[in-house]
Amino acid sequence: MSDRITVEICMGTTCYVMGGAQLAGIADRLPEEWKDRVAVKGMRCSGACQQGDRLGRAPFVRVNGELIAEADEGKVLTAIRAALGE
Amino acid sequence: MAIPMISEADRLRREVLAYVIKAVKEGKYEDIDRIPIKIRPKGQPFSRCCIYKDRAALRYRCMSALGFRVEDETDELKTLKSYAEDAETNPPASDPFLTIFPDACSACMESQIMVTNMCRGCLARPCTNICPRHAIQVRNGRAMIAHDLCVNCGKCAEVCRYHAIIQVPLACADACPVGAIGKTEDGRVTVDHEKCIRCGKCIKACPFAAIMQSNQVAHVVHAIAKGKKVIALVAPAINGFFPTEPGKLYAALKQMGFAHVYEVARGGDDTAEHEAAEWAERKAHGAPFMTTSCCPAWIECVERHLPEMKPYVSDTPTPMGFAEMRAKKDHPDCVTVFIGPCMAKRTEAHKHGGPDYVITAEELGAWLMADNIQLDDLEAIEPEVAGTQYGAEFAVSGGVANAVAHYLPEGTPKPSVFKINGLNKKNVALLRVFAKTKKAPADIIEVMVCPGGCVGGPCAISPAEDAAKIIQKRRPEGFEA
Repeated sequence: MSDRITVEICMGTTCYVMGGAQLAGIADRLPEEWKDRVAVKGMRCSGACQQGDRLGRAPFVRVNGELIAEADEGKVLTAIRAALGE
Repeated sequence: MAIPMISEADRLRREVLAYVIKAVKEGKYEDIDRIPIKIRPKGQPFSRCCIYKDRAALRYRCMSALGFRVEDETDELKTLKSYAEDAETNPPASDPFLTIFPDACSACMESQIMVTNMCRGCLARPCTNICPRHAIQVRNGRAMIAHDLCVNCGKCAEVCRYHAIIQVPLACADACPVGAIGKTEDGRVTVDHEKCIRCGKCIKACPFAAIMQSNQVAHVVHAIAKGKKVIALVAPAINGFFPTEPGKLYAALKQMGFAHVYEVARGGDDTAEHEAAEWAERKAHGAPFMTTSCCPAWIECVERHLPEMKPYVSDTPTPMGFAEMRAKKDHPDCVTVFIGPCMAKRTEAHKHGGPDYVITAEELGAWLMADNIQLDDLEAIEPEVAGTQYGAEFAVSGGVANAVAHYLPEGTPKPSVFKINGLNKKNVALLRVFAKTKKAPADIIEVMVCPGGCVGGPCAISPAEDAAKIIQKRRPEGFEA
């Protein structure tokens, strides 16, 4: 199980309103062959949205510990693919 | 099914709202004039033709966030700070709440079928055979469409093996269910407010965000700051838009300064109960069918386009109407604020003299962002007035008819239901036929102008399917669906 890729979607308010709501269901949209290798969960506000000047850097997603700003489905899928070494 | 992604335009609108709300709350009005520069700083990427146009568009977005219409501008040099000062004492802009920034409009082509240079002028020429109007001929090795004959059916685009024929959309006009969108002489968008049913589909559709709405959140912030007793009337759809139990959101509203929280779901129960009794009575008098009355854009559609439908529309007040009556009766000195995903509710409130303000789910979301409230950290509270699950499901297509069936007086046979799940040009025509022929395929026609129901409203935060699932997950044991 430890070699699973973890995808954490920020469920904090700012991230959720700025697009996290659209990412919340991403687990259901992953390719079939990834489903056993990727674990998707929610995470509490990391405070990243309050750092820097703009709220527009939200939503944040963490893939294997690496924080992605202005996350969208494409960026998250690309990060997972890289983490899987594909 | 593909989940519609949030667009950059949606994100910008929410970010602007959050900064405006923060500045208004803190009384730092001069910060609002800096928002366009904050979002589009020197040397950073921009989206339109240049950074200055981006900033100009953002300035008008701030103006509408403060409750003003772009059309009401009399002095281009007026600062956003002085608009914010005006918002302190003057009421927000009135109906129509739609406002257009024409310079943001890209003057898109009329919706049409076009042959691109991928066309190879092939021997088979399926496009010429399939066209029901004989509008296509091949000349000089390329298909040509006679636009005076073409009816935009798109059949030629479907059969072309090279995908050389495309349907070019006019996003705003294609989205409008009633043909309220036109063009100026130079091709920019105009809205005929006599025809417009206030649904807000064009706002969502326009890829350049040239169509906006005037908000009311700044006025609500001021009402709370002035110490007024402000009551939140929370639409059931709202409880599908946040990843938390409703009680935590209500605690957040209290923290933001609302005195009481009323679930509009309770108004939904009231509406369903009245509408059930109304149907039983109408049926006894031989009525062929009845349509629901809770969707304000549908009511505008009937008023403006389908007068023949009027006798068949329920007379029952909407859930918002019942919630408003209850709040004003319980607290005669209060200021009421409806919070929902709908644009047309502003027009309904304007016509009925209440609630005092209507803010959208986006305005609420931006307010939570401005206050940096984490819902999960809060202790859930009970609302002052709560509804049942039947009332809560008014937010989802099918939920209204289901609630009406639940509240039917004893001995009334269960009515059959026909759902309009998202109004468009085609089903407006269908509804007209029902009214004209006095015949419909069911007893109750449930009309939801937004696809999926209110959860699919133009100012929603989550995808409609996700919000519907969250709401339906709360069904208690014994719930009849």
